[in-house]
Amino acid sequence: MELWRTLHPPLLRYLTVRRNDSPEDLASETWLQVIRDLSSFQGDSRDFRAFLFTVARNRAIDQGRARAARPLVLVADPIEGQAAPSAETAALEQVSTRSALDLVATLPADQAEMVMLRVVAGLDVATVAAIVGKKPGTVRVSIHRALRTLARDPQVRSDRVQEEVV
Amino acid sequence: MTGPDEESWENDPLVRALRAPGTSQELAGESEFVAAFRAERRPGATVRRLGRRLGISATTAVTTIVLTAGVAAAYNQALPDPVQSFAHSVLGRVGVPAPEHPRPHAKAHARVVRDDNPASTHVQPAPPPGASTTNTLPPPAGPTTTPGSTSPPATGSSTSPSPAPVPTGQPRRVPAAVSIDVAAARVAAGTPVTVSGVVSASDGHTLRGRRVRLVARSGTSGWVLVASGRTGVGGRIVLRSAALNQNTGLRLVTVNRVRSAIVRVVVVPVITATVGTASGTSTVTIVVRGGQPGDTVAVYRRRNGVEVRIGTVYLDSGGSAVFSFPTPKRLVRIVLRLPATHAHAAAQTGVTVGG
Repeated sequence: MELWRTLHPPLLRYLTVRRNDSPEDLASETWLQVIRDLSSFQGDSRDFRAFLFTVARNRAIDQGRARAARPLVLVADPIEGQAAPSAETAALEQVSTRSALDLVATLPADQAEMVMLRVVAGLDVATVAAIVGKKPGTVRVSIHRALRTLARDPQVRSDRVQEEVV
Repeated sequence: MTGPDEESWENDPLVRALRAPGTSQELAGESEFVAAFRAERRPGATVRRLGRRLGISATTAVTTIVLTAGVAAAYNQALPDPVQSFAHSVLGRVGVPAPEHPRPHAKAHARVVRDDNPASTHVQPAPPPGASTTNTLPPPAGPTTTPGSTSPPATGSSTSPSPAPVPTGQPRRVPAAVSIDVAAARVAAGTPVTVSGVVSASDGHTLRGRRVRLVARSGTSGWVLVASGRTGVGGRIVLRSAALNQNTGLRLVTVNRVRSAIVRVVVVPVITATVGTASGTSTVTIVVRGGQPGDTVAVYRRRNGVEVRIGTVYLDSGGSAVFSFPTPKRLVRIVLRLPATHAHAAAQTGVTVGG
């Protein structure tokens, strides 16, 4: 199960950043699809990683199309009576995996996807380019710009300062 | 991961947070996945599905699937090692073999087993004749057994679970990421919190036996060591903080200074109020665990269905305050509210006075 333990978290994070409905369900569907298609797969571990994320992307796109055809009516959850966090409280919040994903999700969708595939999934530029259907140079520049944008975020800069302290 | 730009963001906190090992929440579906995998790959299920699809008998379907190149790939070890290992782990009962050892990845995996099991690292395989021994790994912390003393010769009788001797010249895996998870994001004042995490190498393998420190920061203080320990099975570490009395940031740090993300635990103060009445005056003694000296406690009384603020007191250095007022002629509900500050969450309690 080492393979699943290694690849499931980045897969889940990739689908989360793509803002798909229920990324957990989508990840499960992706794994089932991969298991079904395993017999037709040939390649090394790097190819398998690319194979997994390609399947995930295709399923995410399919889900997006289905959602566009049958839009959901969202109902707001009741808000619990809770004191709003003070400015100090907010300032103390630091970058965690969850907030890092939220931060990446603020990027333009194509940039966010490329960052997740390159940085989180660990795919090389050529593979990312093949998956998203762009030229490798475009991917490289987009990722560079995205990371620079993220680096300018006050939350990231704050965390970087904290890093110096510890 | 090549190129100067990529090297520059490799150690970025944001990237490290994105690449942190899976949390227990993310890995919660493992058993369901195994069940689904087994159900999907069970030969009978595949045969029945194929048979239905093709409208042929099960026997014919068996023949068909056995001849399918992809499935045969698993049986022929034609799949990549991780996939082959994976297929073996769940299909071993139906004859799918493990990957062969001499492949580079298989060696790397053996290395993980060796790293993860301190007991196994104690017995070093003997170097081949003429080989240099200066390139061996640093000895693990704790008692070790040299090959020449108590262990038998390394020619096949090693206690290591690795099927083949592991070359000692390979670099030792170092922690590259630490995940962090807390049992509760909000705790009552004076309560410790349990923090867990997983230490892994850059290739995603979890590392066992690695020392990890839990550090905490609250208020304007710097980071303070709270607890430390070594990772166990699956690179997992579980540490317990001291009793928390104010909002605290926690993080895990490895010996080579790889840091987890910071998680923040909010402390909810516990207010205790006792009422004493003497000569027409009621005195409410307020003790707040988790409050800070100078914190405001607002006192409210319900009047005509509306809560009316009747006073404000401030906590002393012991976290106590006293509020006195004329004893009401009938029972009255008094509510004490401690607003949230940067050090703690809001809290409230109530007492009944009068009558």
